[in-house]
Amino acid sequence: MMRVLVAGGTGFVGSAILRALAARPEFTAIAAARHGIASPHLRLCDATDAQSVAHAVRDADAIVNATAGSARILTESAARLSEAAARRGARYVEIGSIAVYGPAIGSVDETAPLLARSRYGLAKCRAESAVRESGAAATLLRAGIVVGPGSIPWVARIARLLRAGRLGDLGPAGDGICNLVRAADIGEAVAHVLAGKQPRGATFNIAAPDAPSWNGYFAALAHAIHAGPLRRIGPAQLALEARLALPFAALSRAGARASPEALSGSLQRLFRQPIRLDCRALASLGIAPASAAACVAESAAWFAALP
Amino acid sequence: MIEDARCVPSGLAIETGLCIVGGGPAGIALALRYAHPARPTLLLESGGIDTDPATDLLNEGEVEDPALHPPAALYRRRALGGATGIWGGRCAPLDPIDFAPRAWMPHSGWPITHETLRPYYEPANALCEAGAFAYTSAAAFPAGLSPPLEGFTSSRFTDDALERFSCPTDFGARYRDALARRPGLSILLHATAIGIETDERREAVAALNVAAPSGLTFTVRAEIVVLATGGLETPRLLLASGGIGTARDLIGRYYMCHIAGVTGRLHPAPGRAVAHGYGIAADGTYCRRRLALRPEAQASLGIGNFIARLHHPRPADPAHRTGALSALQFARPFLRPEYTLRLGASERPSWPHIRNVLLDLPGTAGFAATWLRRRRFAVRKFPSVAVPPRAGIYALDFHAEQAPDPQSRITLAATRDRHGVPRLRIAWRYSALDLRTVREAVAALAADLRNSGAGHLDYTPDEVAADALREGAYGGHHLGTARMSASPRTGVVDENCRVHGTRNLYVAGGAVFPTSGQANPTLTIVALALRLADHLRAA
Repeated sequence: MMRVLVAGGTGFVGSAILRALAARPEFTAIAAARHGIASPHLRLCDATDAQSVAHAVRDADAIVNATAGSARILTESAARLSEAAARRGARYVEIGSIAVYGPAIGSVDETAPLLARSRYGLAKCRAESAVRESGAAATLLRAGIVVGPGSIPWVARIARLLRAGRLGDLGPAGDGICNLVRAADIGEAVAHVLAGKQPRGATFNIAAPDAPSWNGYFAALAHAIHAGPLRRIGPAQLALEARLALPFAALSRAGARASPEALSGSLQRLFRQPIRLDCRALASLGIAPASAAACVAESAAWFAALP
Repeated sequence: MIEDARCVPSGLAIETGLCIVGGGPAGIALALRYAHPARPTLLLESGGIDTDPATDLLNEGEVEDPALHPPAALYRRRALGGATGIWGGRCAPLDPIDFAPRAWMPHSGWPITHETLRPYYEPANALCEAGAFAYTSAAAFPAGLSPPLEGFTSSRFTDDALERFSCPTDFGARYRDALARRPGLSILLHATAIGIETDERREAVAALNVAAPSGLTFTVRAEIVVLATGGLETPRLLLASGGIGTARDLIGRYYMCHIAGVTGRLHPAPGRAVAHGYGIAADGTYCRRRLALRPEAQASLGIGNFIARLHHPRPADPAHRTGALSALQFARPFLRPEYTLRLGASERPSWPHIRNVLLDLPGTAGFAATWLRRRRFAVRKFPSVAVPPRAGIYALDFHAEQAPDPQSRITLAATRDRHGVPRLRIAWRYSALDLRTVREAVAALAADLRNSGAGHLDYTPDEVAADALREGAYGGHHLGTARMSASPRTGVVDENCRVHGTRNLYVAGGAVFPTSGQANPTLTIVALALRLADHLRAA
């Protein structure tokens, strides 16, 4: 029986990983999180604090890092957790992101250069470096656009913008590739990785094999949630959205928690970016993430059932 | 990669795998589907990103009878995107019967069937941004879409046929980024193909002569050449090059447009609802139901394909009492010449029109507001004026097949353009069958309207013929001038669009249509280009 500690285990991706591990008899999965009520299944832990981490991982055979948060939390949690894994000789899985590739275009495999320039992308790059430097027996999963039940940014937000007529068919501005992946498939991949023998430092992209364009994702999601006739959004409206988003971006950098849903310039650049995650390495392990249609169907069913 | 021929040195010789001549919808669709990192592709576009008057001068030519055909340069555009920069966006596929040889229509029949093209219509629809490939109201509107005229039933017409509308999408603006970053694809702007050099046996293209705006010339050598220059420039370039392959005398013949017009006065029966406007499908596209002549009726009447829509009466006649239609008379100076032609004869704004506007101020203002919001400032544009006429009387807006006729043809004029290429001479002819198609179909529709009790069509046969020819050939649909045929004796290109008797010269676009069908051609042009891309990739 392998005892797995999932940091960020109460979050969207972390809870999907916990579910996948719990479904297999060979694992005992325990969540670690900053907040919550401690129980045999949840350990309270500040993943940026070495002592707190040392206590939380006291009996873990494997550690999975699915922590979310600020740039500092992303980087430091990866460093502290991987260091702890190295000290204990525990297996380690880091949930990374497509954001590390920055503005790369075309088909991108795991050997592609990391060109991230955004705050989030840079933080995820630094997290990866910290994991490598820790010396832990680590596997890195670079996830695409994570959807499925509970995805606030990529399902609930997009769905609300579609219903409001602020998203739709963006024309050339939506020709980028939307590398959809279900949180459940990330959970499956983690379980698969921990169950097998992985070379140290192995890195895998993970996304649907038939990732659609962003326009395609918007159209499919709008149809599935009955958002009404798809609107064609022109460049003038998108430019206005980007301008309106500016003050909210500044507020959020200043630490404001809640800000209205805005189509910022960086989000719009993502919608245009023709980057396709090459996931052949993952497929060679026998892991097959769900199709785009399955991603949309599951996401839409969850959103439609929201109050 | 997008480059400009204004920057190339004199005497340059470019070598490439595939050379596509023309960056209109056919050339762009072909390039997007074909381009591959391992196969270098070069697309030559005569114009730039935007139009400029000097380049469009190359389109000028002679028209045999200016009353029957628009000027040669009208409805055309030399720029990336081609005529999609000015099209109306109406999409409809050809019907299965359009591909069949029909005993009652000489020279009819394609060497391919609807089934052959069917797999390409879906991606063509996507490229045209006309939504799903669903061309019946039943398929596109699960919740239903009101019929054009309530209670109309007919064994000869269906009212379930749909037309769908592109944004209208300018292929140049829409796909420029995608073309620019496509690996293996180069686009050369301001590069006008002015001649085809063949090998000694005239069986293969050896090189293309290309001119930059300055007059500087260079050559392109390619394994395969595709002419995607439209139904007028394709025969011009082939003829100007002295012919190639085996079909020299057929190049430029069988020139077809469509026979279209607005005719009659349709009085719906009292209480019968009319829906002559647009519905919006779930994918956001504007759609409209239309009355289509069924294939069995075409056969029994011995006529070509035909569709009709309910339409507001001719705006020029103030008897419609509709402010918005009268207001269009005042908007003429702001409309494109391609559209003012179809508004009808130019008239000075007259008192009856001013009275219509004043008496129908709310209607006129509402129309203006809708027009601004849903057309002028929208990216997906409301397709056309569709206002209910206050007098309650509609007209019939018909669009009919023109039969192929070898006497209707494009030849070379004695004059030359500034690159020394002979200009076009357009001798468009219509036939007795063309007029019979329109007359018989309108008569059948009138009889079926009466029999179903849905309404009454007031018309005379002479008036129908006059309305069909009022503006002459339907502008912008240039078809048939390098027709597809199984045998080199009856056409210019084979079933794979390769010029008969050549190894490496192909044609994409409206020139290859052996018959015209009732449908606006762009969707089929794009579908044929996609099919050609697959054929060339497999070859």
